Amino acid sequence: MKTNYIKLAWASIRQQPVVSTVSIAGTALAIFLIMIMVMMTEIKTAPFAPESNRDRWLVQKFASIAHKDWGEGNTSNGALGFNTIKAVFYEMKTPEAVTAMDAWPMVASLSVPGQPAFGAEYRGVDNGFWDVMDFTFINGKPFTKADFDAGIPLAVINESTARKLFGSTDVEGREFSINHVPYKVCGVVKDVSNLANLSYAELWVPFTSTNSANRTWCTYMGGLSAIILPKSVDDIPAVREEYKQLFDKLGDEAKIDGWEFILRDRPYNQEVHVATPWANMSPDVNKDRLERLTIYLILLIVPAVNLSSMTHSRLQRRREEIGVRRAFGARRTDIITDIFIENLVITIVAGLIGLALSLIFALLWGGLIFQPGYGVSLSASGLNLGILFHWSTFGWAMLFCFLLNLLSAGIPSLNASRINIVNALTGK
Amino acid sequence: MKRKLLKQIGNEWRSNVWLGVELLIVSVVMWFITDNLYTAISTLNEPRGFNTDHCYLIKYALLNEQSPEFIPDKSNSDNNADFLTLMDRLEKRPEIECVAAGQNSYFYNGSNSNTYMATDTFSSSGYLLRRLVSPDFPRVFRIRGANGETPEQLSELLKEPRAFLISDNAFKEKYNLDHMGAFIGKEFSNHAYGDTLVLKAAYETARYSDFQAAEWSTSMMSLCPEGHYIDALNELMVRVRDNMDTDFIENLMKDADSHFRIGNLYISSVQSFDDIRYIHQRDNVTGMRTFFAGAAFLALNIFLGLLGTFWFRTRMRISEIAIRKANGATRSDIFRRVISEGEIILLVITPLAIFLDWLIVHFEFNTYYHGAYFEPSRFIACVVIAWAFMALMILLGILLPANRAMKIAPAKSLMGE
Repeated sequence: MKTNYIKLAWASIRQQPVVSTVSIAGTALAIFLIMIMVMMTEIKTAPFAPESNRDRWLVQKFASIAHKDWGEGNTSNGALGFNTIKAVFYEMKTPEAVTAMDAWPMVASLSVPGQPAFGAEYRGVDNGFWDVMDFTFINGKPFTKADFDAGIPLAVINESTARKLFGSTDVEGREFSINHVPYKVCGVVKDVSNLANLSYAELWVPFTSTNSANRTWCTYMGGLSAIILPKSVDDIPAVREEYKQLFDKLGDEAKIDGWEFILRDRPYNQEVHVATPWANMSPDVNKDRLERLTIYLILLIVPAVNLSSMTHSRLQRRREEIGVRRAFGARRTDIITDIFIENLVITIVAGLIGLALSLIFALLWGGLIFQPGYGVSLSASGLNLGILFHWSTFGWAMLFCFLLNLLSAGIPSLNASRINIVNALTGK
Repeated sequence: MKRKLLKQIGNEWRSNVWLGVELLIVSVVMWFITDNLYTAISTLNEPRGFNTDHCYLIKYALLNEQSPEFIPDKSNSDNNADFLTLMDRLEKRPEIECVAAGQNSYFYNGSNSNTYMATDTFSSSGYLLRRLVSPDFPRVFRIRGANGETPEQLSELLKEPRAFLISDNAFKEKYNLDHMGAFIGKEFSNHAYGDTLVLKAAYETARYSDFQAAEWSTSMMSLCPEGHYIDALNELMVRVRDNMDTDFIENLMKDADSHFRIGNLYISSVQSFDDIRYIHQRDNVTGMRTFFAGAAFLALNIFLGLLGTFWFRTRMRISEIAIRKANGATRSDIFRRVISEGEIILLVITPLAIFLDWLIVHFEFNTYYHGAYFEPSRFIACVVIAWAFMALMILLGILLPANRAMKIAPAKSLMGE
């Protein structure tokens, strides 16, 4: 039976090559564009190494604070200070891990004796960073809590930086300088894509060894962000409860000096975090979803109307065949199901072409459409199939194919099933 | 002839309804995209009010105690003196025209401060961007006075005691005042910072970014006292002379350790404003690209839809076309007839499409620009552009089937009759 549908689909394509080619091209084009849009979203939200835990972590990129003397509505919004990190995030007991890190990578001047210095993006992080993120160490290991607490100048560098500095990746223990401070390499990791914008850098150092821990104002604000990793998605409410209690406690202390925290529903899951890029805005994830849904609908409905018209035309040519089948006892539901499945075969083939084209396009020209986070990178780096393709991507592609088929073959197949047998057989 | 054509379109109502629905949806979406691109391109073409060509951001920091080069007994005022020396040395470099420092000051910067300024019963509204700067800030970004003051004159005015400058549109939204000239010399309370400043000049509105219209970009700038540069300011910007950009970053970085390592101060990197601008606006650029891709997708859909439908239609109508030709219709008559079918369907749906466009405007789902969602000239222009584009795509889509219909040989096609 399954082979029969494929044969029918193939016969239908061969019978009307131009209209069929146009149908397949239209479907492939629609799925291509929809998949590019899906990838643009997924690249920001779906897990990929080293941000493999995006599906359960909670992000606090920024904090917001007001002072009683500033007047109503005046707030200050930005990254967090180390005091807030210590009082809230490092006090948490419920999560599997927490990390604090520089809100953005910064450019540092790197050098080894006898070679010209060069700039690279570095990020101050804590020891928890290595538990929350999923880096692949090819040499050495991450720095420890003791190293972090003591502010030991150790660095984890990526393999490209290792090669640039030392001509090799087997460099654990080698020394170089970052912004005139001598550092020792403790580990080398595989390069990461700059699309992983909460973890991306070319080297990572304990932020207690830089100025980041001291960069603070009004006691609570500074240059750090934090991520909480709950043990599972089910643990998120408990983590939020603990977070709220700790922030309330800190808020009570802050009130003494006239400060008041504005929580803005933080911390956010990855989707909300991505939809809330500005520190002074509360999240509006529904607006983002509605925009995406509208785009998907337009991208589906326009080609669906198109394809529907062509399916209708194709079925006009098969009136006699449908008439004969009805005369021999085929039920209307049989006709509808057969046309629907036959069309679905064509839609899925075209959809797979569209999906393949979208992946090829994204691999070749992804730098133009996928955007790295705030930093100095001009275009996306490290794009590969692991980042672009997830089984959910395939699932979305198939769902969109099904919807497209439902929209484009639904009404024509209903009409075809209503054909009057006598008229169809006499060619009226 | 025309009546017959309409009758024929009516006879094929089932497939024409599909075409009509498709054209209607595409018309509305195409208008929406045209309207969005129209406002985006108009905004891009507005005067920016500043110039970042040949400008560079120099990132600097103080050494910490982990560095063997760290000098422990440097006081805050020593560090400030070192920073002034750094600015002075940069200014003396032959390729550099001028140097300025600031806090949340430079253009295409995601980090901002705001305030609101009030004098008598007048006060600013919305987000009045506040730039805390050193005097040469207007020179670096070539900001010009609303009364024709040069950047140099604005820099001099900024040096005066308690001086501040404001964008000429600061009171436009609230009081519909186009200029701030009447307020020059007046004292303003700077509410967010609790001091009182004197307005020395208004400057031509400096937009927030290339994609932000002037109406959303109100700003002011005030002077940071020289003794507080190291504490209060964190940005260092330079303008390079017009013909001296070549290898500027490489050359400056080469000298960073020898000429610009002053006390505990060092330069960590230099970034051109071309790159900063690109990075800051890539969301908007991608948004525009997406709209263009959307328009291309819809256009291709119309093309494919009409190509497929009319290809099938001409094939079904071979006999009819052959009879027409046998009765004296020329090749161009046949061509015109096939093309007219598509264009008539577009004409029929156009009033409904315009009504839907108007509904989108009425419910303010389109772009706000020049203080309104609806401007008659913009609305008409976008409707006409979207319509013309669709008519062209219809023409291209039907061209191939129409050409095929034109070539039908009557004798051969009617052989079976």
